[in-house]
Amino acid sequence: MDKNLITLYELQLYVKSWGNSNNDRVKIFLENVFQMGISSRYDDIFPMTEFEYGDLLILDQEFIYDEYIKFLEKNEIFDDVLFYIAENEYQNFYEQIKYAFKPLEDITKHFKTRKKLIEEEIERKRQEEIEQKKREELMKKLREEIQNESENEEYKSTSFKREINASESIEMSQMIDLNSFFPSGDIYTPPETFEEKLQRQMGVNINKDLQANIYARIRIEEHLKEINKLKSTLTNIFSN
Amino acid sequence: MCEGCEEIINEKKPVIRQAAFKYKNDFVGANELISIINVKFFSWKRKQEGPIQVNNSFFHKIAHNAAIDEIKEYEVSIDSPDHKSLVEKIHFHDPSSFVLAQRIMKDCSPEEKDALMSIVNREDPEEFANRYNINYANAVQKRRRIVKKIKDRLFSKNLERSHG
Repeated sequence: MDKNLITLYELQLYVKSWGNSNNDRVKIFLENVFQMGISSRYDDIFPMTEFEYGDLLILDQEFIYDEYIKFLEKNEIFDDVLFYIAENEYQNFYEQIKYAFKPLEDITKHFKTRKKLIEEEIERKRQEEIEQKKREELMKKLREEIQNESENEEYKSTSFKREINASESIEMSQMIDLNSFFPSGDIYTPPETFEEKLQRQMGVNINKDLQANIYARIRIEEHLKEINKLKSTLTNIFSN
Repeated sequence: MCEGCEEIINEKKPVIRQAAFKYKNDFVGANELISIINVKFFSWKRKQEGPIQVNNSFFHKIAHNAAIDEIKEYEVSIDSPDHKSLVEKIHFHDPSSFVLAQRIMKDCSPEEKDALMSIVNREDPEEFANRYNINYANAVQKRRRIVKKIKDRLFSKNLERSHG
């Protein structure tokens, strides 16, 4: 996707005006975001030239979610995939979600705004400079000590090389031991992954970025809630 | 009571009720269909020798046939008092749950009702797809659409969105 497609201001204006700014490029941008994890990847969209995913996440989520529902009505196959996950594969989907993304609210915390990233970068550089100064002072001290104990240092260096050689040979022997676990001749077939199963059954490819698509995640939770509510209501009626 | 009837009927209570609800119409009510299903089952079981196994589609088939045959009158007199009390237990007695089931399934075609039951019974979408000769993705779509239809009609006001 064109990283210059829209500016942050255009996006903010579109959301603040509840779509009344009628900017088609923002609509295209949002449709790309809504497809994240299914037919597009996070890297295809973010970072935009002017803003980050975090800048989108802090905007009016209810309005954007309503836009997402309209998008799903026009692209039912996407909603089918989310329903399929909720009904049949929720456990597997949830297990593979990164720890940082498991609670929905943590997605917003994880993806930072451009402003926050710039602030963090400035702070990181400041810390790096402090560390650099400390390192230089330490090196200076070390050089002085080396000059004083040059003979002793030569002995240490030889001993250090011997230690490296010994640890390398241990690692090599461990590698050989690991190889013995794999039977020769047999080709190991890994079990079908969640994504492969979905592709086989639904004919749709999904990717790992679906876990970061907050709108899809909310929709899956919504489907799950509705399915469970129906199940419990009807089970009650027909069993008791 | 003959051996095994109570266990089977009690175990299949939700299936019998679902089948009756799926096929009930203006001519045959749900409780009437429940009685017919049971009578047919007792009669079939009497003819079997040795241990029997009965699957869910058996009850659905009886309900389906009974519901479409509006002219023929079924003989629903039950042979023994034990069987009679067993059938009584399967009938709907709670008007509120009966009305709720009716509201949920109002305007649903038999296929939609089947999709709904399929979800409730945790049936693999593959089996549902096979019944209607459609592919897996279509089966999932039909299931999603029926949940949406019912949600739009009944639950949308009660369900809160889980915004993060």
